[in-house]
Amino acid sequence: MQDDERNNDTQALRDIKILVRAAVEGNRSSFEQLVEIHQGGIFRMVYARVQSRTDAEDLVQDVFLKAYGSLSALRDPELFKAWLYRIALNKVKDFRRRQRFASLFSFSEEEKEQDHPDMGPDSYDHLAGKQFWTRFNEFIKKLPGVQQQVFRLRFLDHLSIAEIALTLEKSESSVKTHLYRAIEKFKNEGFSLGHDPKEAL
Amino acid sequence: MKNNPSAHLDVQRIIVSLVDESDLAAQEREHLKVCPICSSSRNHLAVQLHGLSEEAIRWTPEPRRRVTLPAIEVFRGSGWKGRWYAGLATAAACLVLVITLTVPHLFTGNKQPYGELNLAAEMAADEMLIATTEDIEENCLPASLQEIVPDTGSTDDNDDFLDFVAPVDA
Repeated sequence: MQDDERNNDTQALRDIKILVRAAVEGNRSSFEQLVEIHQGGIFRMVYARVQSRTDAEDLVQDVFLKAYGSLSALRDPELFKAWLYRIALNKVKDFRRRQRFASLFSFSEEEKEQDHPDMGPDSYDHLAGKQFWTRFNEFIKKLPGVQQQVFRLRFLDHLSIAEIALTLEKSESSVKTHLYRAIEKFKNEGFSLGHDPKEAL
Repeated sequence: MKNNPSAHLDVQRIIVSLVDESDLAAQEREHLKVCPICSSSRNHLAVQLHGLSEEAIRWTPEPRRRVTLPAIEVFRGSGWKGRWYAGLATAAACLVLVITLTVPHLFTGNKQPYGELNLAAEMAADEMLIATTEDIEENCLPASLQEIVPDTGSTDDNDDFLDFVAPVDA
């Protein structure tokens, strides 16, 4: 069973590599397929950082446009995912910089609050989602910058150690050290999920 | 651990196993496989991290908008190289435009300078306009209607008409 899953993963990776190679050579439909594969992950990654659906949608659009425009700069198709996440991280960084600058002039805290997560029509869901992100943000703010990035990329964005190293342009051993410290704090803080984790077993 | 294979892994080693299990010594990996206390301790932390990941997915809304690529193919040059090509293309276009405006016969084959050609055409158009205006001033009606128009220079006809409308002698 595990072998089957591993074979499927390997096949999927091989397919992605073929798509990336074709997209680099100018095949538009291959790039559209890559968008289909990655846009969900990139959206989640961006949303977890900006906490606004509209802004996340705009940023995801920008990420893929940027990727499409600079595909020729991608040397190794195997690095596509890490490369895409690096573009997304830079877009988020730019967005935050713009937001900070704008907040100097017009945006008040109340206005920002109004743009907070919109989970759906159910107000209970809305509240529960908001509570989760508040707790998560409180925890993540306690970590130093690189630990925050590494922890998010590993457990929220599901990148491998190698992919995180490429995304952040750091060595794998450095990534492991930061991840180790972040997990240690996660354990010591006793981050609660709002339900018994054992239920998931 | 090295001296005692049955000793349990401490919290640090449990965390190392979660970061990358291959960083554990072979003996530690073996112990982790068989020891229910250590594997339970590891699983507990793994489940918490997995739960966090699941919750994050759960509380992330679905995007309402899909990514759309531009309809027109964007210029796919990269970095300075792309900008260099774009600059070169713009400069070439400007050069062609300047040459076309200053030396038109280079492309049209007409050796008369562009300025003179234009002036002659404008003068001819002006002359035609003046002639038409003068013609209208003199004869504002078409030739077919001019035959039935009475001669306005004669006052006799006017007197007859006035007599008819308002006779002097009753």
